[in-house]
Amino acid sequence: MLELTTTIIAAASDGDWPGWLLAAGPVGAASFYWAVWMAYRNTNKSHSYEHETEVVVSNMTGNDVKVGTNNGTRDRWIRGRNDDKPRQRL
Amino acid sequence: MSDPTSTPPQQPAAPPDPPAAAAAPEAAPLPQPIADALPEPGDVNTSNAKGDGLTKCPRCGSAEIGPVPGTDQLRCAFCRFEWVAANFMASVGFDSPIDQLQGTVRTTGVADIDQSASHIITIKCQGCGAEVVINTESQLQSRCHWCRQVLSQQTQIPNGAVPDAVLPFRLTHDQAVEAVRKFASRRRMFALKRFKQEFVPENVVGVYMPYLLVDGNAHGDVAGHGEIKTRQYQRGSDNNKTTYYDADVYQVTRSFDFTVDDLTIESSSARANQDTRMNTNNVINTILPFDTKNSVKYDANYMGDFTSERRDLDVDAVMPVARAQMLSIARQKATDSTRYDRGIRWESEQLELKGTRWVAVLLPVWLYSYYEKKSDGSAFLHYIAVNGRTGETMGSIPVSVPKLLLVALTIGTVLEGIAIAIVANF
Repeated sequence: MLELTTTIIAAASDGDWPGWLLAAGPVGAASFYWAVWMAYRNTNKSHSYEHETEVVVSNMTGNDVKVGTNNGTRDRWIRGRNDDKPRQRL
Repeated sequence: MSDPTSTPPQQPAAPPDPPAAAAAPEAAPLPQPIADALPEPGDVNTSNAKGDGLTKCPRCGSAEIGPVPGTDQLRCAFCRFEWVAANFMASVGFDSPIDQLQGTVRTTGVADIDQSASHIITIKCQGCGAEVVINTESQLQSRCHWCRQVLSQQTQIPNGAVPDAVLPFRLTHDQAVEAVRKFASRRRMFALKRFKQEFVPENVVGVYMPYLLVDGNAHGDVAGHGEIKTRQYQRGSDNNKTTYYDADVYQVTRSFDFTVDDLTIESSSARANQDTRMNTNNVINTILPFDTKNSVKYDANYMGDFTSERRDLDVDAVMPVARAQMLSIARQKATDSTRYDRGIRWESEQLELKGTRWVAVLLPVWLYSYYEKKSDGSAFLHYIAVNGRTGETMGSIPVSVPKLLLVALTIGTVLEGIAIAIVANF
């Protein structure tokens, strides 16, 4: 379904033809299924220990050194962003 | 109300060592099995001096003691005297500053489990002399079937069943029933038909789940790159615009000390397995945290009608989990100390664990379970869990897949119909 959606969007981006709208059916059905499944089964839930544990930080040191620029990028976020995934090991 | 447990009984002064003791030759080493069963020299002794069997009311001597629903109190059913066991953390000095922790500090309640230890304990009733069997896998108390007095397993045994501390149930059965009913009633539409038919929230049961609490004194080092947006602009024709961004790139490093207080980790291997394809243990994990600061010294009389699960994981077994969670906390704290509007790509992380302090505790959970038998013959156990202190509720409701699929496809078809109409008229 994802491939079909990508294909349709790619084809639609060639011109003004709003063909991407044709993805609305499959995407809508899949999104609804996923949202209901998660609301019922809660398989993505766990204790948020990163935020809910009592932690005291001290002696914080560090640097923020400008090392260059990243101009003209189309990416909304830094490539490989992981500051929102603290459980992902490096 | 006064706390009788806080007043230590008057003990006769210990007799002085006989002079011969000083000159006695060094004691012979203990046989290996006995030496293994003894606590390690550095362990904080949390063993209970009450002794197994009858635990008597400090006022009237009755053994009919049980928890008072909705409170942390114990009550004698005979004379109605009420009291609270001593706060655990304060009683063993575990409320001391965590930033001074060095090495691994353990209590006797988290001692390594002897795999060969029996879970079946026989207690001799002091009331009538009968021998009563308790299966410590799920119980720490039993009633003598001859004289009807309640017998308790109070002392620590090497199979991990008896903890250091217990956090009493604060939420009553009625409140738990209401929480389960509310959770399930919001998810009725696509729930499995049999689940709805067999739904009896009154069947929710209180279980004391085993956890290890760990305090950690650590140092974290995290490094990576972050970006700050300097410009945002669009290129292209009116109908085909693309957004572009300019950003400054920074090298980011953070180095800091931090302390973690009462990180709570499952110490039952069955609950620690949180593979959501195989079980719904993650919903029990989600109802954490508990107000563990209010844990009291273990007293089997808090068990009442509740069951308990046995700890079967040692500190060494959960240490990797504790380290991983503390590293995640370090990452989060490092992120919290920055302001990069295009985010950060952390590239290295290190944790130096200077000291940890471990406590075995039983925490109160109300559990409603549903055993789903699937069409292929397999079975799946769903839980709705309610935190016995805060009331936080999380659960897994079995879904009627054909019904959900039908509605999802219907919605998809309607959306597709609208989309085709728009495209056709374009």
